[in-house]
Amino acid sequence: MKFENWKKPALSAVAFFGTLGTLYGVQAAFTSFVSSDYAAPRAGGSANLTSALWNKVIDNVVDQENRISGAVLWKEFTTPLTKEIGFTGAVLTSGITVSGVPATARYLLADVFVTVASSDHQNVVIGRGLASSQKNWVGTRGSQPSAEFGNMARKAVTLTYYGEVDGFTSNYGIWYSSQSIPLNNGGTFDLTNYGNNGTAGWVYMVIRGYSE
Amino acid sequence: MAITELAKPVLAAVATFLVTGFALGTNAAFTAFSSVDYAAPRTGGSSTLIGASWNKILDNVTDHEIRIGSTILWKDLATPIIREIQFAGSVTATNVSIPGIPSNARYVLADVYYTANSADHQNVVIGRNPTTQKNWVEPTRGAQPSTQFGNNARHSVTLTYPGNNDGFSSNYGIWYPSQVIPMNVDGTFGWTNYSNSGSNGYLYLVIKAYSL
Repeated sequence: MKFENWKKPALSAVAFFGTLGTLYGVQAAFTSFVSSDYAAPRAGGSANLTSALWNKVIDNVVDQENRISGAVLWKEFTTPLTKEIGFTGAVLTSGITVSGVPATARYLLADVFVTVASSDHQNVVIGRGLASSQKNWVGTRGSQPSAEFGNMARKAVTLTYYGEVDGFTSNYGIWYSSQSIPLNNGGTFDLTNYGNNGTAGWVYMVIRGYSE
Repeated sequence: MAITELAKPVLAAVATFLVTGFALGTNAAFTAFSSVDYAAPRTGGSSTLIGASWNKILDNVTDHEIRIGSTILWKDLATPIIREIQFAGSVTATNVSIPGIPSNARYVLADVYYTANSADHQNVVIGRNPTTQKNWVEPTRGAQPSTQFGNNARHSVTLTYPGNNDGFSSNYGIWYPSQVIPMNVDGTFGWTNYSNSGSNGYLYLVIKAYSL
């Protein structure tokens, strides 16, 4: 591609740098551009691309990469995907796939619906690497969580489904929207409903986006 | 800064580029930098080398644009925007503007509050052109969702407000924080409370950020 043809994407990228730099405020390495930086090389090609400007460009590209790499950046599905999972009793299921989710996806943006056949309190956990079930509620209201919880330092979302001594349960099911769900390598997820006391039910998901 | 001081972060960044490039697998245009690319222009290198390296810079900038271009990037509002909507009974897909939100916003990040004046179960749907679709199960809790739901593969959030046969309803209203709400193409959002059985109330949003 000719040098001239790079003008537009380069210009938009420069504006983009500035926007993100302002947004995140983490650009220790960021060196600002000035209007003359843009004008000179555009007018005369590589001969006018000074070392000083070159250094700024490199610094900004490197800074940009450092901030993008590993970040959660949602990409919309043109049409959201749906996934439905039935369960009977307590489950710990690994490697659930969703057709249409890239194997490189690290996170899903999803609205999750849960319905259970009886008044059975349980917390539905969906996420990455759920090798074991961990207690995630307190038996006496107001108790110190860490005194009763298992190891919750895991990449997962935990959704409370009321029942039993809560004094009520949902008849119509509950939606938990805008959940950021971590995925396993390969774009799968794990699910557990530890706390379930033998009831059957369903998890239904509307998956609106993903992040690689 | 001496060239030797620059070498470490630059080489680390080069490694990041390479690792990220392979890991994400999304960068067809990606061309890795080499230490030569950095060193020569920084010391005033030849125009030939600058030209080649310039192309690599542009390849990387383009790659960044591809990876970030259509994703959700939140921009903080200096002061969150409040939007309050009164309803009487069932509301069918009404579009709502938000003064202060750009017309090209694709998403808002909002904490949503909902209150109704009776124990009337309803699911509040907020988003991009939401249509009224059944999104609960009845009369039997634990029924398979997909056998009862309408087409919920839509870009919206769904918020459950318990009532009726749930055996419980909120007296004080319910907050649904950190909702990722898709917008219409004109920066408005649509909403519906399909399943409302004649109750009146308010939908109240605290909009903290938006994404173009």
